[in-house]
Amino acid sequence: MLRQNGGGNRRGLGFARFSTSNFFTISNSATWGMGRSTKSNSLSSISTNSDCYDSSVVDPEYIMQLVNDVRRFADVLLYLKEAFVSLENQDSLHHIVHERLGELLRVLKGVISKHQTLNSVDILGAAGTVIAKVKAVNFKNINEDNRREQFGEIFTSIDTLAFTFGNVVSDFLMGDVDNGSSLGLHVSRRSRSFENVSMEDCPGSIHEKDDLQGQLRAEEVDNLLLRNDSGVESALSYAKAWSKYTKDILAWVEKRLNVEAEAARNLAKMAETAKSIVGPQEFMPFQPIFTTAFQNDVECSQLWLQTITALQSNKFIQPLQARRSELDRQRKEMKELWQREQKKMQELETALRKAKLLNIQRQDEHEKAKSSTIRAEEEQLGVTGGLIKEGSKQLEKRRRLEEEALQKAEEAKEHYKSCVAEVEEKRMDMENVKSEVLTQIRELIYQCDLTLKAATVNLFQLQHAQVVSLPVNCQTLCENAKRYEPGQQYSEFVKNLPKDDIEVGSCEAAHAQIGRLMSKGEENNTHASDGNLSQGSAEYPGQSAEDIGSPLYNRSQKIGQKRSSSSTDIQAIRGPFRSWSTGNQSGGMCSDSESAGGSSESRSMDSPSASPGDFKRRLPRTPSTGTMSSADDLDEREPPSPSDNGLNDLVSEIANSPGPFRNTILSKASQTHKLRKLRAPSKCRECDSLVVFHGAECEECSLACHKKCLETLAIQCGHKKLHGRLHLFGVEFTQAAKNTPDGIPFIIKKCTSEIEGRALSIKGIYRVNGAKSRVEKLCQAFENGKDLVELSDLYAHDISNVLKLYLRQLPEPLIMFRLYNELIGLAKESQRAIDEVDSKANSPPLKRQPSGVELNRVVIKIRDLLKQLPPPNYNTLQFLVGHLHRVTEEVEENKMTASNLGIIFGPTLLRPRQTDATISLSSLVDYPYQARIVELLISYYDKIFDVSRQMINPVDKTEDREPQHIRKSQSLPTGNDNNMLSKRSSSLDEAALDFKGVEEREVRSQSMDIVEENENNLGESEERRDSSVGHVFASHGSDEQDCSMDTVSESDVAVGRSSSEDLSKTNISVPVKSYRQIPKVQLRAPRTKPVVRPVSLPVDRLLPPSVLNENSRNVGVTSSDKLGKSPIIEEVSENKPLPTINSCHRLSCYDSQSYRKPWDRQYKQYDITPRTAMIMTNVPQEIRAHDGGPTNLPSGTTCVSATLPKIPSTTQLKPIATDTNTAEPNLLSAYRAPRTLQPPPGTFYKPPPYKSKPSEETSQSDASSANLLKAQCQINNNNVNLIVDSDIATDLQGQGQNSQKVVPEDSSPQTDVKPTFPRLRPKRVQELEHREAHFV
Amino acid sequence: MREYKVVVLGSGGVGKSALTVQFVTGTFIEKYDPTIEDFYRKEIEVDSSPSVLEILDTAGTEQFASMRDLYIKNGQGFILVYSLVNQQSFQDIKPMRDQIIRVKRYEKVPVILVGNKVDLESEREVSSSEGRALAEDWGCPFMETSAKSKTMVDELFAEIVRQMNYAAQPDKDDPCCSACNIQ
Repeated sequence: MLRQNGGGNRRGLGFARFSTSNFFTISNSATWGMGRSTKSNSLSSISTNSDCYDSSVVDPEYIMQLVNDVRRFADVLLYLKEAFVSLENQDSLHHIVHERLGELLRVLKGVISKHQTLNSVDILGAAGTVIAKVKAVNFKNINEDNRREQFGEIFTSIDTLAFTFGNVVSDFLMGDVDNGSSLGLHVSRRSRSFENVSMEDCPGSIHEKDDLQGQLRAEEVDNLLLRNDSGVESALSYAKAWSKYTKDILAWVEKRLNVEAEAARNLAKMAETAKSIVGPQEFMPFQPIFTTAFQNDVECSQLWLQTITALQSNKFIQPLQARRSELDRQRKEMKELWQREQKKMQELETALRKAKLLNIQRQDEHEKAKSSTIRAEEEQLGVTGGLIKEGSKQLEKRRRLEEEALQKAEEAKEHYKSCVAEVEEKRMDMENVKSEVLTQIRELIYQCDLTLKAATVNLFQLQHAQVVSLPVNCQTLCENAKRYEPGQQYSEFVKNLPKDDIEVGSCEAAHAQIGRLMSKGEENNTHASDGNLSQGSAEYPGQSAEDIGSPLYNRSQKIGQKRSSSSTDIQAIRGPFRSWSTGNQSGGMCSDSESAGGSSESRSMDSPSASPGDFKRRLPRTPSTGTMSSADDLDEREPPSPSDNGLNDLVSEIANSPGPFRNTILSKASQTHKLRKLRAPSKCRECDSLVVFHGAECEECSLACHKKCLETLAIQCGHKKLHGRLHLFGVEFTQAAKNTPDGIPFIIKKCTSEIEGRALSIKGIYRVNGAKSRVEKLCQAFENGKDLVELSDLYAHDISNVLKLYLRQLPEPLIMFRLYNELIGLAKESQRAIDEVDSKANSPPLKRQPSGVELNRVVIKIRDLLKQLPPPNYNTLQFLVGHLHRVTEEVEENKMTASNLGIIFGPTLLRPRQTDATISLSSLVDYPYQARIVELLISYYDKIFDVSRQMINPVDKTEDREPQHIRKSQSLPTGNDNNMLSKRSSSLDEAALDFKGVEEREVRSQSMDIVEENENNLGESEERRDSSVGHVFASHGSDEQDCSMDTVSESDVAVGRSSSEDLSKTNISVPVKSYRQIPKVQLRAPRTKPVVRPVSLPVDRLLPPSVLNENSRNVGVTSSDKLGKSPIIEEVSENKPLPTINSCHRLSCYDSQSYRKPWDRQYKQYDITPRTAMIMTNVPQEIRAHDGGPTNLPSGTTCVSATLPKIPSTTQLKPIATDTNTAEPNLLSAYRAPRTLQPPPGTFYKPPPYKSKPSEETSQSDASSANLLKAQCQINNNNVNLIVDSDIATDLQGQGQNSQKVVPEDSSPQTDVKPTFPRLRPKRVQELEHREAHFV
Repeated sequence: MREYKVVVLGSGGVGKSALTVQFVTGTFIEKYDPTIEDFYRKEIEVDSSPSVLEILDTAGTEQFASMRDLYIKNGQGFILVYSLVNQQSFQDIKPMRDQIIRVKRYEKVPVILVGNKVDLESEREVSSSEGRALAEDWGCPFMETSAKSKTMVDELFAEIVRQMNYAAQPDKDDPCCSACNIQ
């Protein structure tokens, strides 16, 4: 061994020496391990010192080195060979061979790492063979006979290695080595081969030796420590350090795991959210890839979490912690033991010292005694005579003393000896204990190391496992992403569109085509030109005829056009007018429409030079605002989803976007701008601070903004100069109302539509606060960008917060100060009514009736009171409450009931005029009443705002629209387009749906006009138009007559206007109008469907569309007629002065009660005679108008009473009374007839079995007689439907026969209504009073 | 018997009422109605001295923020509640404490910071360390509670009573220490 060591040194290579020295200190297998580690060292050194290769070719010194190395290698090879050949040391052959093989490999490695270029597969292969062969030899069975054949193979392999090596070296020296390939190969190859070596070595023959060596080493360690005086202490301190070290490691791992867990959770959350948002967006580029990426993320984070839990539990932290605590415990124990032993040792030593001293002392004493005895003896000899006796006595004494001393001395000596022996023994003991302790510590540390090793392996294995899938996934995604061709999805998307078209019917396809073309053309025309309809129609026949002529060509052209949409357009316009073209691209939404219409336009103009002027004209029109897309978008084939805009932007951006902000992340809104570098310092519209450097500016709207603010910018491009900063919050409502035709401030429309679009089902919408900073920012954005603010990126709670904030900051609340006291009074009244109900909850239902009446009365009073509001306030309130009503429809999900919203909007919508700044306790007391009012507004929205005619439910709208489409697709070519649109729209969110519906309608009505003029064969549209005109007139009429500013009529007028007025104007108003056009959709409902959804009837109970359709066709004109008149009837009751209502109300109430019984008796009789109904309908119009009371009866007893002062009840009832024969009962029947006759919309549905209802009733009541029950039903009806509009009553009187059937049906709404009553919290009043007393 | 006026503050929907009702009646209210203001009274024994708690459950919804001054004026001890599944509610709580100090004109108002809804651990958005750090910053106790599973609810109200007791004794320098060991 020593010889070999010397040999190693002789080689003189630092690297080799290093490994050889290791080789001898540690075991054989350790050498392999070291070899591995040095290999990696050398590899890294190679990579860093790669320049050595470049110099090598030229450097003669390098070649000399190489030659030396080669020689060394040859030596080692020979050396190995010798080992086999030599006959001596047969027993140690095994060892020697392996050592030499190791040596060989080390040298080879050294050479290869030093001379990169020699690193080739051949050498490594040959070396591998050698290793394999050597290992294959069974050294134990070697004898003289088989030696030759066994070693023959090894020799061949060694020779091959030598040969290969030589070849490679000579190749290299000739300059033939292919450097690149070998470089790429060697790392993995080599490491593998070496791994093999070590792996195969370990379990093999060397394994036993390894164990042995380990043991030996451990003993060595112990011996070393034993020899050391403070060996135990050092061992213990090492154990302590280990513990501390592990603690640190554990802390790190734990922290890391926590961070990872959090990251994983966040990632998963993010991925889920993104997935849910991105998932449903079809036809987006890379959408599947991103979905997969999200999926991957989710899975990955799951894996992470699993890994983390594994690591936290049994894989890393727990075992290590357990081990550590055990180590600590044992360490302490051993320390104590050791200390105890040491103490004992010390004690013994001191005892020994004492014994020694005593021994010496005794010896001295003995000496003294001895000498004194001798002296005494001498004296005795000198003395004679009588003194002898005395002298002999003394001598005796001395001798005794001496003996005693001797005895003592001997005892002491004995003691000393025993002490020494003891100490010796103890020392031996100590040694034993020491070695024991040391062994224990060592074992402990070994165990700990083992655990740590296992844990560490686990840790990294798991970490490896958790990331191993990542690169693959990423690679796959990357590959997939590479495969995508820009525009592919877009074309897919576009390809999908015409298919729908064709599916409608092959023969209709052409029609559809024409229809679309025409509608588009018309739209173009209206946009491009001044929107003169006749002009538009004049322009278009030619083209449409052409289109008809070649529909196929057209379609293909269309598709092509669609596919390239904006880009072709841009290309057409690009060129000299680059700025315009870029403007176009940034326009996003509008560029689409322009591509359809605009491109044809520019084509027709021969040269693009003509377009700028045109563009200028068109630019202000692009009304794309907020999340709503422009009308053009709708008529185009794209659904107006926000993502659509994004796509267009993307496409256009790819097409030509050399802008300076290409690399900046742009928010959705900032993508709509055409940005350039800011030239002059200005104020940032986003953050409201000064921009000097790195500013961006839109070329069209001159919006200035920081570059970094582009990421968050919420204001879209309005394509016209952006107005200055607007004061919005805290500004008088009238000011904001002035800016819109209907008086509803844009901010309310925008916020509500956004919330309806996506946030209706969010839990606690309007209740949960938004983030203050974001809310403030959004407020600022609204002030800066007005209606151009893009909301789709924002949190719903922020938006709702802004809306509330706006309303709250109005100097005078929406429901004005002057109504406050009266409203609060009404709330208290209603509260009382509810209290009554509550207190009489157990009393017979008969007695409960009045409270229901009471409530209705309150509701009607509120209605009347609200009509005192100025029109803008009223409209806005109606709009807002309508929105809140829709919020409550999602109560299952958002948990926001009417009372919940009432609490929130109570102080937002109404508050007392505050005389002093401080909030008095009275206002605190008023809060519940404010909330109550708003709650009533929301839950009785239909009644209070007379919306029963205007379908508020979006479902209604779609249902009502659908039949029209069907009808139109049969008759009008345009119908197809619309129909298709509506189909697609069904997948869109509600807001978009509403909006689109409106736009559709508008466009349709326009296109229809044109179609009519062009092709006169469309009779039905004529009829439609008639009806629409009639309707418009009617609403005009109502507008004039109705002092209370009917929204319906107003919006109707708006429709009329929009279809006839010049379009530039319409376009400007579109963005603003589009939302308020939700009622516009509704306003047509009566024409197509003069059916009313009862106050609280579930939506699904509405008519099937076919019925609606039928109805709308037949009744079209007449119904609108009726509707037109309805306001007059209403007016009668509305104009009553309030005090009269109040004073008379009780009377009526009383009346109804006192008359109940006789009326009940008469009820059956009345039921049998449907004549009354006929009579009612036959009553001349004047009488009806005159007798507003009776006709209005269903709308509430108040109405009756309201008329009472005017006309005495007897006279009032006379005409009817005379018509019906029996005077007294008829008086009653006439009096009440409308109530019972007034069939709620239920007329149209199938009533449930008649019996069912009464049985339900019996469960509630004690009443026994069937008659009474029936009567009660009726009363219930009345109570519920009291406020149903009078016009409906008139409308439906004709169907009086049905009323009886309908009656039972009607109580179901009542049951629906009921639950809202107990919502009130009478307790609160008491509480408040109590508190007031308490706190003040 | 001493009376303690406790005010529960916090932004909307964090579970103030749920906590209060859980404490007073021992039930968890499922309904999701915003509170305008509710008042409760309960007798409990804290550190073997009977005390009457008058708990004012306030409105979290910002519409009623203007009433907060009034609450604060009348209250003696304050429970500031945030929902640990809603980061925003945690942000909202900070100005409330400032407001308390502003109105009371006194730094050491008895306050407890409470992270509610600890049962929704999986949806957690505010880590306990964040809450604890804020509480340390304020020098007040911190707790994580759940009205639903009645975790630490009684402890919370007992602690606020203790806090008020400490505040009542001006000699005690550090009212925080005893409280800190509860966590």
